[in-house]
Amino acid sequence: MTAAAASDAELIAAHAAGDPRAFAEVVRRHRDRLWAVALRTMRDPEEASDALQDAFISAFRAAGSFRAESQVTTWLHRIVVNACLDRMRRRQARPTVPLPETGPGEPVARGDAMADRDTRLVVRKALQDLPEEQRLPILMVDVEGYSVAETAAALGIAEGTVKSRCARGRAKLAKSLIQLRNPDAIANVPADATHTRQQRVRPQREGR
Amino acid sequence: MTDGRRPDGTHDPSWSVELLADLHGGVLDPAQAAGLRRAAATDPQAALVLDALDEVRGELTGLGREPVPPMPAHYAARLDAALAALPPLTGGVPVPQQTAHQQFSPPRPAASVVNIDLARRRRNKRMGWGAGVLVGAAAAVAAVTAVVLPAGDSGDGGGPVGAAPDNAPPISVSRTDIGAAIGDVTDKRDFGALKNDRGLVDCLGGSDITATPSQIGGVRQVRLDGVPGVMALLVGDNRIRVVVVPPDCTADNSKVLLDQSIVTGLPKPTK
Repeated sequence: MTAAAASDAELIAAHAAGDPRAFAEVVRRHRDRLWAVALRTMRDPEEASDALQDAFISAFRAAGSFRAESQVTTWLHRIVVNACLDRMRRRQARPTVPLPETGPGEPVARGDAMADRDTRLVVRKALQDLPEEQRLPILMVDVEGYSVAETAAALGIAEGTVKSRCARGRAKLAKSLIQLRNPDAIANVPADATHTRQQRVRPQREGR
Repeated sequence: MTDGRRPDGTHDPSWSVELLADLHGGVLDPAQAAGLRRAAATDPQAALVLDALDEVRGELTGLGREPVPPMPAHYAARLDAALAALPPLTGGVPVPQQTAHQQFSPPRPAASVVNIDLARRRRNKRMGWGAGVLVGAAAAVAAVTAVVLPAGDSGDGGGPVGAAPDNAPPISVSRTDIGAAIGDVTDKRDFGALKNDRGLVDCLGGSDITATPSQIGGVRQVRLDGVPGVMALLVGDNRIRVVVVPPDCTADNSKVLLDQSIVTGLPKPTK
């Protein structure tokens, strides 16, 4: 099999059948994206590196359980999130080292308007400052795109708890955003600015 | 702003930022949600909060879709080496299929490591063991000699090796089993008479080996088949170059006792 031309699923199947080179190609294809997931979750590069290594070793060994009806990327993503959560459960009382506001954890900035960039930075900073019990559900539901049910299963909490923790966390992020826009009083925000925001980003307003 | 207060600091019992966030997040029961929606519909401040919540949700969604920087080379090399150390699957081993909910599993016993330093040492041992096996058996990785690393900058900034200088006694290594030493050298900074990154880079440059401090994945004094030397791991794209030089090596008096590369992954495909 030509590794570079094979699909992810074919490579996993080849690896499970004993091909010693197939898994390395899977890692090469997905490493950077999964690194970002681990780094966002763990917030510390060393911890993220260890979690990602745990995850890939786990995937290496569990390749036989992969079924072609699901995406390899989804499968790997879950394993990485699991590995991160495992590590976070184990470290518990250990304080984390927040990532700097710029640096290896900061996604590449694009040429957006300064206001958009400020918004992004404020939301990210506020996200980093959330307590873990709110940050993790938000990361899984809003950033990584898992359903509330999947998140509840992963975190071992009720679905209603996932929703309420997400809501409380988002409330804090929204407050940070409002304070960025108008540190003194909302009444000072021009009406047209409010209107602009209303038109710019409006995902589904009520829950998933 | 405190809990239960509106963004402008006044208090309106009909809503708060938290309550609107609950509405926004689908937490409230239908009757409560309908009442709150009515109250918020005519209040510009409530609309502003709901807009902010929408925007937060949009930013968070966008965060997961943004281009990401690559995994740093030294972490990637560690990962490659750890995976290369695993024996290939033999095929045909039945593994129970997981249900959707089981895909998020509880903590695995195999991962019950509390001390991260212990875990790292254990991983490094695995790397050494695996690399030795794989080099010796020419299985999943191949050892090749004199592979040219990609040329990098010649800055003398700190490399990826974060450990403090380590003056452990030289380790004995064999030319026929270099891979076994990798775990004992990874992350070490025992330069011996070469003193530091600069001394090593200068020494290697004298033998036309281009390296930068950021490529150095570990340095340690060794005895190579009984001959004193300094082993350096140079981390490259999909390979680790293992070099041993004499302890007194300089740019003007350079000599290479050993130069091998261990391939840890597949090369990037050419388009």
